[in-house]
Amino acid sequence: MQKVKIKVAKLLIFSLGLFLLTYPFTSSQAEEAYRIGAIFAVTGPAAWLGDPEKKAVELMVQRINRQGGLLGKRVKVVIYDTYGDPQAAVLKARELITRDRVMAILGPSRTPTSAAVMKALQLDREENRFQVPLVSCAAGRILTKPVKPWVFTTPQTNALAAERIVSYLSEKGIRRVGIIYVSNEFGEDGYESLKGSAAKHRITIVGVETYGGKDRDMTAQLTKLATKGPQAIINWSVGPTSVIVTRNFKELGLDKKGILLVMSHGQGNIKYVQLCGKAAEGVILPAGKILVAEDLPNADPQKRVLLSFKEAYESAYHEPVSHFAAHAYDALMLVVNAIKRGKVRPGDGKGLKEALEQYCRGFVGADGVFNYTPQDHNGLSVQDLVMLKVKKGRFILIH
Amino acid sequence: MVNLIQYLFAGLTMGVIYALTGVGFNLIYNATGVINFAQGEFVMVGAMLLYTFQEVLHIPSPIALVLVVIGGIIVGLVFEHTVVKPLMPMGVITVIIGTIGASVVLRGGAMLIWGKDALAVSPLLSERPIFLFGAALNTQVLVVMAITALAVLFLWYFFSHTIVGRAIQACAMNPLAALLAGIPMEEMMALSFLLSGSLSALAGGLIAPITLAEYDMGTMLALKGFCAAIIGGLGNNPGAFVGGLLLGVMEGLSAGYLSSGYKDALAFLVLILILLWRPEGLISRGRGERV
Repeated sequence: MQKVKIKVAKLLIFSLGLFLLTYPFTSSQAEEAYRIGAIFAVTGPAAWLGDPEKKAVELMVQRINRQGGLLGKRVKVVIYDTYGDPQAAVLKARELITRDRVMAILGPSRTPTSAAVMKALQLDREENRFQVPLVSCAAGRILTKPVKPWVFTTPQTNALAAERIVSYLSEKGIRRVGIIYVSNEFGEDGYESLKGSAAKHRITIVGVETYGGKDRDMTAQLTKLATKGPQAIINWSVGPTSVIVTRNFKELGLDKKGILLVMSHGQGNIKYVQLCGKAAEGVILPAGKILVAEDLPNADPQKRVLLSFKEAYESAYHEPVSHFAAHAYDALMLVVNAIKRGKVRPGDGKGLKEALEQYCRGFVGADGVFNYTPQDHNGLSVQDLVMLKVKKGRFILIH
Repeated sequence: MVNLIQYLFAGLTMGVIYALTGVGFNLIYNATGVINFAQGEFVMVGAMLLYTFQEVLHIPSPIALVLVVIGGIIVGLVFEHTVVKPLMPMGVITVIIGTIGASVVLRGGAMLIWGKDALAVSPLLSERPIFLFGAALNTQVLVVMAITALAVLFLWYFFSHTIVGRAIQACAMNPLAALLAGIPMEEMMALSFLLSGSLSALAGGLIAPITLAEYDMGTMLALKGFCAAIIGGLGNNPGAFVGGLLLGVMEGLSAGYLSSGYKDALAFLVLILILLWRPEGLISRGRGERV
């Protein structure tokens, strides 16, 4: 009996010692650090989005911690891969909240994954059991229109890009446009936005054509559009199809017939120009200012922010900075800004959400100047987009 | 009128691509009775290899194409040895499922090697299209068409006028009888994969300047190529050639005159109709060997 007691006591003392040994490290760090989660499509078909996003977040968190952290505490970021898959995104988001106890989630990269997370965690309701804001890097209208209490987004929306294009064309005296778009959510959203803007600026849409995401020849659609006599053709898609449209447009010699080719902000990526080769010359498109940071006038409020981020990113990763890196940069920096100015305590997701709505007005980010309010969780405006033209294989600022 | 010709050209452009892939399906089907679902990936590997040789290593195009064909031969043979041969004793269905698995492996491997972005390959002749009857035609399409026609001619001669070609066909028609007649079955099977691999890789190299090279380009190609082969009658090479062109032209015309949104639906509707009414294919004379 005595022996057993001693054994139990020994065991107790041993485990107490073990507990004491690990306690200061685990719990104090967990309590003291600002824990932020991120889910991006780092691998899989949307890796071209998720990869730069992850890099941007890692870079900035490193920089913040090197400069003494946030309100005297470290920022700890946990990043998971969604593979671009909605189910995986939901799973990882839950893991971030329940296991990693994060106070905010950055990402996901795409609209379908973001919408899935929003639905699964009931972030579209004011009252839900998680109380963690999601700052998504996707642009879909479903995420912000109408406003969802716990969902914020950073990219310029289709509606803004469409408005930017149409107002530019209208200023140039163009009255008749043809539209060609990829028949998926992104293309359709773009088309709807263009329709709205065109009506506003009294521009006539003379023809509309579509194509599939895997199609590799659009000459038939472009030929048909050209017969309707448009002064400009606007294409709305992402990925290789936009390259094919550009090449086919040039092959058909439509530029020589005086038609202007306009791309969506989805082509704001130098890879697009490289893939098109000479065919991209003269194409115009709206884009965030990050692509032409050096060319911006000095008075532009974003110039300093953009140059500093661009330089840090490009020297760390030896690849050109992209819009996607900018989306993730903004997601993180908006959260950091809200915590700092709202004096939000670690782990207080509800406080963070309110701070995002209150203290992010006129916040100068990489995608634009944000004005988050309880009614607007995207917070960007048409002024945050510039019009670019492809000239000699690079983007130049035209407006 | 110019528009009609332009729609036809658009159709021909995609049509030759479907035709080439369709012929690749036939080669393996004729020798083994297997539908190779990794056929599209063979084409993809060809496109990627041409990108590597021509754009990265800067080897002149003709030599690069020869290297692509050699690469295709290697892929075909390795595929046959690692996937088809071990599974063949378990029946054709098992092999077909095996090819689906292999296609996923090839696609994933290509993604790791060449990345997820589309890659541009410069065309053999010139970037500028030629104008026929006022309609623009990509010069690369002419190259693809000529080489496809040559390949179909060669295959027709090979299968109907050489002893090796006829031996390959015999293996598929009646394996037991072929074996009894002293035909080395395993070598014939390897040979047919070698032919299919090299032709598909060549196809990939030829179409890459038109479609860009991308790790997941194979899925769409396989689907449409399979349609082409079905329209022409599975196993019938000139049939696949015509079937591919027909499918492409149908798509081009429906994009032009109907609605671009229905283009794919129309193609598959035709496929279903053909499978219902003429499962032996449009061009087939109704050969009765295979049941």
